[in-house]
Amino acid sequence: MSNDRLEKEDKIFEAITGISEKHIEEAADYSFKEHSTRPKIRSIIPWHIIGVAAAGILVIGGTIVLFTQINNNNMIQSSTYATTIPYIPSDLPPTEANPPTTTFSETTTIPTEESFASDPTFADDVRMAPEQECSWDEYVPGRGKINSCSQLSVLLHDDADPHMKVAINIELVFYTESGETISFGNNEATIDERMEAELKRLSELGYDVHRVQNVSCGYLRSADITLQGTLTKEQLQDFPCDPNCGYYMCWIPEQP
Amino acid sequence: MEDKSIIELYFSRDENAISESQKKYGSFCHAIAWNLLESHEDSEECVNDTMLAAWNAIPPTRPNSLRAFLGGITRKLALMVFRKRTAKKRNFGIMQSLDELFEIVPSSQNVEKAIEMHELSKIIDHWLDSLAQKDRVLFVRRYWFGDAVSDLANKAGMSSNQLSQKLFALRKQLKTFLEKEGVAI
Repeated sequence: MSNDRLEKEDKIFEAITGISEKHIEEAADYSFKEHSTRPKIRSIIPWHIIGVAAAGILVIGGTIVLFTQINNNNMIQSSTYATTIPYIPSDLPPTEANPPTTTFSETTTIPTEESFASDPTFADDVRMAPEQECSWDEYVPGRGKINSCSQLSVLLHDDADPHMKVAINIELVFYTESGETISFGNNEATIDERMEAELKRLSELGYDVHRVQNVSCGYLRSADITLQGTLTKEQLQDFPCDPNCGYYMCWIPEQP
Repeated sequence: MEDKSIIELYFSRDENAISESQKKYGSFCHAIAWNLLESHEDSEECVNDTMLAAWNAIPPTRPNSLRAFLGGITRKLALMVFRKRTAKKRNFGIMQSLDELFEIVPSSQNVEKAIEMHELSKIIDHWLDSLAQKDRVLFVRRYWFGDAVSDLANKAGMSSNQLSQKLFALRKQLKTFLEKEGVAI
């Protein structure tokens, strides 16, 4: 690391250290629980009883809706909008244990905007207009899987032009073969190598991606494991997941 | 014991000042050092050095807040230990939060006049005053205390993603504020 950088870091560190004592005291004493409205509500409402009753109603209601939908032969396949894409190497012959490669479009029925508006099975955040802020499902994508932001899913609806290009941010979660995540702190070299390998693999498959230091979609876990690129709808739908990687995908809106 | 009484012990050169400070704020200082060093042994040493430094500084210094005063010393000492210990492992604790802040302050090569650090602290204070209390607390907990995003998100009842987005927005806001003030270091 250069001396200039160290010097600047020290100065920022010093400046932050020197902030007013009142702010430090406030932060040290602040209780998030006390400032939350939830405990007050909890204290007067028997949530456990309401919870059990609501669960019962949901189960009964869900069963009725399910049967109605089956009867109408109008089943909507996607109950969650964080899309999961299994990775199957394309050079292996399809067998029972190794079924043919499935893609975003094959595994997921993407509703149109009209169906969003009328479909009660989708959460409110899924129905957001593209110009609104991104929202995420909170889970970490598993091996060979994608957690995409709701807006990206909205952009890829059925009627969208397959050649439409979308700027996206791809954040990677690396897994070992035994399924453990590789974290920063003591695995920088491993992460760096894996990052480069993944970049190379995607580039060789014709994906226009590059490594970036600063993500611009407002979602940041670690800037060093992020790719950005401009992909077509088709490329996104057929995204070739590595089985030892998880992917957060986020649409990058055009800057005004 | 009240802070005022502990400070009086320092002024009367009573060594109980150290043990009382340790008793009251030892774990507070340890947590700050731990966020940077992630080593109990080093953090313990930092806390001991903090108490010694406080003994040497009071008097003549009479801190308004003993807790913030001791915490500030711990931060500085922990950074020194960190710098000595390694120049490689940087991606955890406070160093990660420092990396996040790095880009918001322009370098002095890019502007005409560099700023003194205490002035920058005042400007950041001024900006903090303009924030909603919860946002201010989140910023200070992350960048002064060095709390990990996951821990802080948990305390605040948010997801890590939501907190990261919130912190990103705050840094952006601070950057705009500093640019408006013409700040560079």
